[in-house]
Amino acid sequence: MTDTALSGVYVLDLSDGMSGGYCSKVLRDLGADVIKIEAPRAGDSTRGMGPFLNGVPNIETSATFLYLNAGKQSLTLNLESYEGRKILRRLIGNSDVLVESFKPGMMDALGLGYSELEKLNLALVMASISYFGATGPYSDYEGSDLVAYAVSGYMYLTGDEDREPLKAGGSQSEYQAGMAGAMSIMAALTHRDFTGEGQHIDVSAIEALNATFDGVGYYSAYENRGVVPKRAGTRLVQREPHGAYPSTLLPCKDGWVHVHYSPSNPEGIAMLTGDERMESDDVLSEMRGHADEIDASLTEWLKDHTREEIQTLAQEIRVPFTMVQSIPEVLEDPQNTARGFFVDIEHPEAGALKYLTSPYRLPESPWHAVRAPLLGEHNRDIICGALGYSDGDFQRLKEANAI
Amino acid sequence: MSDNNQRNFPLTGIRIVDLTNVIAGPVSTRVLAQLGAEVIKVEVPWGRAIGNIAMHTDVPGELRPYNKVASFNEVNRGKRSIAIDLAQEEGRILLREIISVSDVVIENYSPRVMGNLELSYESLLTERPDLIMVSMPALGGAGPWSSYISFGPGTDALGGLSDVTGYENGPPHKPGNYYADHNSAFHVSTGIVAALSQRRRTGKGQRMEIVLREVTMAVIGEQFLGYQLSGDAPVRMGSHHRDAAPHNVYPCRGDDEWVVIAVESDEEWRRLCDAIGNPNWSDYDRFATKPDRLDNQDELDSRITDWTRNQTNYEIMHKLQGHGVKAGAVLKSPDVLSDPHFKSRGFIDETDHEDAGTNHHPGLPFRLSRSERRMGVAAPMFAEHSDWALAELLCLEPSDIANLRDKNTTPLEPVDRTF
Repeated sequence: MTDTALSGVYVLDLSDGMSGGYCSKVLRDLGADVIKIEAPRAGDSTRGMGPFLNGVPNIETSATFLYLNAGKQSLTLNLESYEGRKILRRLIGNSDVLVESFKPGMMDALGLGYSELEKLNLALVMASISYFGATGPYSDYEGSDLVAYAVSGYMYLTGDEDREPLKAGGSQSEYQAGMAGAMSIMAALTHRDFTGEGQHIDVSAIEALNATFDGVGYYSAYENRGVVPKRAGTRLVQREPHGAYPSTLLPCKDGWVHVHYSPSNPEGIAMLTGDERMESDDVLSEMRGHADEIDASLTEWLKDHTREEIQTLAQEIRVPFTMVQSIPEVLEDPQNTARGFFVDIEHPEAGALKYLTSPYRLPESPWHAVRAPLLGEHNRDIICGALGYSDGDFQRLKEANAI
Repeated sequence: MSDNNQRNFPLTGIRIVDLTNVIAGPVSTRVLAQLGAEVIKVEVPWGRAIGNIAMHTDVPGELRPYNKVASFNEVNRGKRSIAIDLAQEEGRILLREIISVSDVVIENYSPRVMGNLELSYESLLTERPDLIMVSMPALGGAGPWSSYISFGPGTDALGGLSDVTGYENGPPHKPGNYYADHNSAFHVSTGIVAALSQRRRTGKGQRMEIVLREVTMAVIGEQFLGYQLSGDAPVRMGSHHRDAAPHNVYPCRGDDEWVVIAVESDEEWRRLCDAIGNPNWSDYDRFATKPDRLDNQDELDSRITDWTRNQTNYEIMHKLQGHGVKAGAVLKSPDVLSDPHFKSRGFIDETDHEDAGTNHHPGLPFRLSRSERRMGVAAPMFAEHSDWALAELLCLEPSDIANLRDKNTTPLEPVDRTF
């Protein structure tokens, strides 16, 4: 078997939803073995999220589940049953990492709090991912992707200045919470390698999104200059008049492009458009202050050119303009095709689809394309194989609704 | 820099040479520095202006303005600094010597630069055979667009995130700020620690490539499968949700004040109705089930707006949460600074910097029960650790150090730009 960055790291993913799913997906992409523990019958909530094959709800063809759980094993466990919890405790004894995303306090109520679990496995790294975090006055508040986007402060920075704030597409607070989980788990595994001891990690989604403000002076702009950072359309938030510009989306002949100033070729925009004013000291010394004028000048040129022409012409002179591509276009674009970023994976119910490969390119840690598991697909392997239960035990566990 | 290296940090003993600029690269190593790694920021000798991006300064005044660049001071917290002129042969030799005693090198130049500086991975292996080297190209080191340049926001466009972000029936949009850069930063820092863990087992280093656009695609991965499965390309829907209503942002009392409410199940809907006092809407039946609410959601949004607009966003959040309804105030920078929840968790990082004063920054979004985090340590002053690196890390002779200083190979104050 080939070695991977996380060879020999066994992860139990007890989480429900996208944040924990992405957390353990990252660990899987880096080579860990992941068992996804799901509720019997309905399974993980991402199995109900879709979009589904032909638009027909089916727990085995939900895009969200298929993407996040490719390459993991699925074990169904009923944690409300004594036998279900017993199986979980046995697995914990043999695992390195446990990821969970219940509301704070729920694991304790199930008798599965960290203080109990560390008695089973001193080296266990347990990550608890929640919207508000495990402590603090809002820790028992109900969260969601949208709520985290608001309370983190991110929503106030997204959208048009004169309209209501806007949520980013997809489920970014879930992804950032999952990512913060993966990062902190790696730190805790390192600590464990040197000390032998595990620990409990408290991850907060609102903090994970707020952490993405590093480098823009989100707090210092207010404290030092009285400026409250605010959404600015597709322009970057909070810049002074002499700040660099453009960085925005503008329409062109066949869609939209992202236009961006070029640090290595500041006159590049004037070269493209032929508008000499765009290379004048007046404009270049105060670019953000001339944002409307720069947009107007560019729009005049862009309207006669297609996205592809614009990207090619600009990039030839090191001006970083890029096309706005739709999801179907991204799937087929020449760069993704040349890099093999999408690979075909066959799934018995969802069929053959193009899946994203791992964003980690590690020559010593090859990534393998494996489909997402069917609900409970690995129940027998894990319970009879790894844990040594007999066929009769397995049957009894099924009948008792423990699995 | 307060020296708390002896403490219980998870990454104590890891040394990282940081050649990165702007946001994505520096943030990834900032995270590692706050987890205890020793990060040596190798700076250009002419100071800290990033290209022609003008950055505001933390505090006014003419004294050492290069030490007051707010963005630099935020993304370089907890690091060490040395300035090296890589246009000089002596500068490149000096950098190679630092790399020879380091675990990781990270760079985010466009793909050709490291080769031009004779600092390719292959050539650095002669200094450090088990080196881990990280490159962060925008679009990938190979492929027809590999020579293209892009910053984080441009990868939102090319990777599909702009396409799925936006108001209903409106044009493509983007997440505000530098989302793609920060997203890649956390992927990179995680990957580095994973590669270090593999090296502890195998003794082997490796060259890791993380492509900005590919990590942007990774955080909308379900959109690509969803399109193939359903046959429908995703549509922009503002803050609405495919499968939940009401699910939107609503205006509140005050200037530009907002609250979000997210209701999915009929049970949650009944709780919302209780919270707003069971209004006697004559056509209440039009909202009774989720399909009803999705069908009539604009009308529903306007009814809810009638209720929210005369209360503060905090009042609504607390009231609805008291009824078990998912709701959240849209916070602004000063709100987060004074918010009791953020405060009680100690999330916000406070630094004291000799030239830049006291400032607040986003902290680390996780707490570890047994490991400490290196919080509250400011960014280094320009070349602050140059003497340490030359004399203590590399054990150079005083005469050699004097020679390097004379030639401005590694200056202590910014010098005029040479290339």
